[in-house]
Amino acid sequence: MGRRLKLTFVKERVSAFADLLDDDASMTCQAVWKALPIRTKAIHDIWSGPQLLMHLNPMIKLPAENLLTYIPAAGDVFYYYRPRHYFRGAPYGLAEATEIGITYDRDSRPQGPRGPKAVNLFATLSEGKAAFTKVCRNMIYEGSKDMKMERA
Amino acid sequence: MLATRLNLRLGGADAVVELAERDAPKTSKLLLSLLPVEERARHAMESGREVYVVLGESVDIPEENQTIYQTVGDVLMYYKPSVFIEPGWPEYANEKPVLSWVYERDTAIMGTYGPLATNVVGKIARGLDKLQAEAPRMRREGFGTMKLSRL
Repeated sequence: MGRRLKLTFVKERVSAFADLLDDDASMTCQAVWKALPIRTKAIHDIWSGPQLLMHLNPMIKLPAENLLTYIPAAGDVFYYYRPRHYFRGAPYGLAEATEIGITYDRDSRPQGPRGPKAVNLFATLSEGKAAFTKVCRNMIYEGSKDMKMERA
Repeated sequence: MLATRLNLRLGGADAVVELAERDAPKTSKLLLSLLPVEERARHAMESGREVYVVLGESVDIPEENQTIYQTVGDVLMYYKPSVFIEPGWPEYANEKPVLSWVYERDTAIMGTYGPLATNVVGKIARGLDKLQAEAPRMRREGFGTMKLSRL
């Protein structure tokens, strides 16, 4: 078995596991692996449909790798960099950010107000998806949640 | 003719809406017939800075004064795809009538295939700044109730 990521909604005590796609996105996997554990706020996306996002350390700026440009599948985990002035203001709290996104259902597409955004697909959820998805679905109403990402 | 004015309350923020009765007479009449509207407010997950409430299944919104280029302060009525309201709803629940408003630029109401035409039924005339503070706060801390009523 390859390397795995454990993602936990801290207060809800709900975890899911993601398989890292080391063969296809070795650089992104390694950069995220080195940064673990990460404790951050997950917030629901407002342009991309059923998707969450979490801020990474802004120093982790990575080039494109294993690009996914439009239709992610439920359970896809990806990295992207959002430059300054991408948004009007800072709808997610930071004007410039490196982020991890997680798609939890169909009809999602990583995008901002300017249209689709290419992202580095580096992991897919493989275990615990049902309970994890249930928490994700409530976030658009309940607000942001504490998230812990660690090595499994 | 003076526009009919409505009170829009989101959580602790109040704003004033002026109805677009000249450009959208049928939609305005429909909205007035539904007042007061008091429902759980929801934030868009696909369109940007939009807050909305789902209206009853029986509400029949006519096509009138439509745009795909919504802007800040617009008050809208249209049918939103169910997948963007409750992901996981059964596929036969295709769309729901909604009442919404846009609180910041860079918002584009989206369907599953692209931009959606929406009826512009009014404009936020006062208190937009309060809504611009309350909506992001609710995004972080959880959504409450929205109420639209006659002034």
